[in-house]
Amino acid sequence: MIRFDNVSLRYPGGFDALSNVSFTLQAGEMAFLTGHSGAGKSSLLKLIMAMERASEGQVFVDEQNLNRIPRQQVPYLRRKIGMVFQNPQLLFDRSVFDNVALPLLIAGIDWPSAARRVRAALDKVGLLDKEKLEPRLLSSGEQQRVGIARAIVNKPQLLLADEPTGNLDPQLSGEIMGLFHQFNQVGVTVLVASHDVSLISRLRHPLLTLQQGRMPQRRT
Amino acid sequence: MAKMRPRPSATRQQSSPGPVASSALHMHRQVAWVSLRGLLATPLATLLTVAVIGIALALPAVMLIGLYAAQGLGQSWEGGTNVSLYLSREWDDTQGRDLAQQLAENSQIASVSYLSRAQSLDEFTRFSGYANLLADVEDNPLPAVIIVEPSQQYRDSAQLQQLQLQLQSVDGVEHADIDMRWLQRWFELIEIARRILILLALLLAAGVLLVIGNTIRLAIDGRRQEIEVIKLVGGTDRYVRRPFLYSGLWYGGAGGVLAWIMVSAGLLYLAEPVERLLGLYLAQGLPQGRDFLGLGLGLMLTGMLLGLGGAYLAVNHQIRRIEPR
Repeated sequence: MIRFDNVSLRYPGGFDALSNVSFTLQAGEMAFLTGHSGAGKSSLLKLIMAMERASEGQVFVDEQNLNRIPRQQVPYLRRKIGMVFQNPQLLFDRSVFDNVALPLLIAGIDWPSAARRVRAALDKVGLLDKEKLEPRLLSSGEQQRVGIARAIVNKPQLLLADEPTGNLDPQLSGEIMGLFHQFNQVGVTVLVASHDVSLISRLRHPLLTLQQGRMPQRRT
Repeated sequence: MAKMRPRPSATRQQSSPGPVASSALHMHRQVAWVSLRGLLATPLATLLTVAVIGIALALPAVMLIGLYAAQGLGQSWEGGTNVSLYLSREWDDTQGRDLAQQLAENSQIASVSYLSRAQSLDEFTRFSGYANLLADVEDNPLPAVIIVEPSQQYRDSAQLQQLQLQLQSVDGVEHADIDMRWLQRWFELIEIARRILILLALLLAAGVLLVIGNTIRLAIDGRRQEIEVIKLVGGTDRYVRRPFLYSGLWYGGAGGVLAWIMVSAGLLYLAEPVERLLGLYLAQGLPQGRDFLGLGLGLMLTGMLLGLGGAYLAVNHQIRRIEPR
């Protein structure tokens, strides 16, 4: 599903966020991306989302070489990927329901099936009763779950998460990680960036560890 | 969003070519509606923008109407072009009147009117204001004049010139003159006015484009976060662009309608005194009835086109700059 071949990412100004990173994540796998903050976890995820382009090396997502993907194709790549952020990036001018429905509206799904899928996703994260609320009325754990519902509503093949539990207490964090595990159980490829070692060591998934932009080895 | 749920899909599919087309149509309708509601949410700001657009569209429209009226006026005068025959000063009044009567029987001529030397002088003093000057002249220097109005079939310029030559050779006629030169000037003036109007319309159109472009640019700035999120979850440029293009359409269309209202009100206000002053000539040049509808439609479409163009320029410029970080 994801393959990095000797990928480097250098930001303008000469900062090397990633150096010579290689790894593969098979379809249906789930892995954790770990490392200190600043180790390059977010940069790696951004490469997968085509938010950045590799300076060197090749990034493949679903057999597609992202170095060569034309700008117009980027949205269609992103529709295959659900992404969860540390700050859930919700839109505060609309209801929870409308936030979750956004990817479906963009994809042009007709309204009745979109509504059904939004409710299914909200049900999955346990927020079905809050669909009419504005996101600002929700707790941060609930907001994060709205973000997750939005990420999975389109049934993506690949789910990425960037520090999804960064702002949450341990119990909520455990619940969120449990959700990701569940999605993986039904076949979604999942890559979660987190520095919460105690949490991820409890879940038996491979670790990809970044150290100052390098990935020394892949532990399985 | 739940409030805007469409009709059940069964009835929708009956009247539409297919699910894809119907969902595209539904999407456009929804985007148009949402962008309209967005504009109505800030009524004062929207009204100001619409007013600027309306005024900018109304100005050239008024000028255009004035131009048509002036052209119509010129054409009506063209039909009334006369040939003036200046008679020899040796001829007396009786001879002049006889000649006038003779000419009136000519089939090329609809009517004649005779101005004796005394009448000519009288008119001249009345209209020129040189009464005192002429009072000092012992002998009346002005000739008698026969004003010949050609009959209906002989009024285009070639036939007029032929008639002029013919009358020139009539005994007792010193000089035959077509009252045409000032009419030519009139049309030259109209041509100049027309070109000024085109330049002005271009400038004002550019102004509308910029006003709408700037308004849309501010709107885009205000929705930066939304655009970033849309792009993150797979929104195409076209998807991001669409609501802003609709905003441009609304602005332009509303500006066009406002311009139409202003122009119509202005014309109604002017119609009566203009008619009183110039008779029916000019009034016929003014739009009426169905013309008003066409004018409104034209203004609205022009506004919408400019709105769409301005929005497109602004969005295209901005859309690539806003990328999720």
